[in-house]
Amino acid sequence: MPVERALLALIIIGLGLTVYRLGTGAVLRRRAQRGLQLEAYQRGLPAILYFTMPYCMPCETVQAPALRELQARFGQRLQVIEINAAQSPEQADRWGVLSVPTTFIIDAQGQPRGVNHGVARVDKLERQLLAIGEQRPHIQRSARWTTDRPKLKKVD
Amino acid sequence: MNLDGLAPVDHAALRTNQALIIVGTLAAFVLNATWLAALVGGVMLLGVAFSRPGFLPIYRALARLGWVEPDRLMDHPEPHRFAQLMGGLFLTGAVASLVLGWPGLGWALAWVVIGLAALNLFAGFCVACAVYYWLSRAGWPGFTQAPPPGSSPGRPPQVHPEH
Repeated sequence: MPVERALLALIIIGLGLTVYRLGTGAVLRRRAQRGLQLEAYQRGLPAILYFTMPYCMPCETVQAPALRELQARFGQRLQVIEINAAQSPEQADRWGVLSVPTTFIIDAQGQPRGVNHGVARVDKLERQLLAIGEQRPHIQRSARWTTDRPKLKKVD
Repeated sequence: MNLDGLAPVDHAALRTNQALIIVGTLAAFVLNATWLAALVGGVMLLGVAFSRPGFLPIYRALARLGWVEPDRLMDHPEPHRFAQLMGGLFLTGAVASLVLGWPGLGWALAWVVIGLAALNLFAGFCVACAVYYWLSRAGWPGFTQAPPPGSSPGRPPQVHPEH
């Protein structure tokens, strides 16, 4: 009996995740249809759109360093666009951002292809970029502790 | 930034509370244990009565072990209490339905609690907090607070007390 109910629970959780993914997918499709409306976006390059806020500790301590490392790995082949959701609430609403940090994966054609609600580690972001057809970065894992800290492109 | 009326609220305690609500209610469903759902709902309502997260003692024990760290943000505690009250009432309704012999309705209500707590825990959106702020904007008596500066209804604030 508990096994059957556990299976039922797993099915319900699966359905919930499916609904969540469909909802997220719908937001991305709507965004793609309406255009990115991001002045900082440079067409022809994949991008990560990063929503943050001042005093967001996970953003400062985990997300921003992860994005800097990713930027160091991909170099000029990736653009990271940072948006302060407090200063640009209309952009946050347009992108359906519920909390920060939130990161969107945008392919080289300007199509939003994925979203991470909450902190996304550098390896996950790299996997997402590889999944949309980007080539593995030339800078290998041995370079992960680089002291070079490229600045993220900020948009307020 | 105007922080009038805001107080440090430990969001790590809120997240631990949500996680334990999810685990407890899920276990109640899997084990078909009405008493466990009643226990989780009762703890939530007790938390409302004492103006704190119901599972605060467990959070403090975990914090002492170093498993969780405080994450205090300048926030209004009222919407979170309202959220806990809503969850506790939903679970009370679930238990009442189960006792009265309507398991479908009872467990559906319990899954609503699981779903909303999961949305808050994993996506950072507190539906009941958003409802609180919307009722406040509509002028409902007892709903007096507006969202903290720089945050939208239901989204967590981002201002730490030291700033």
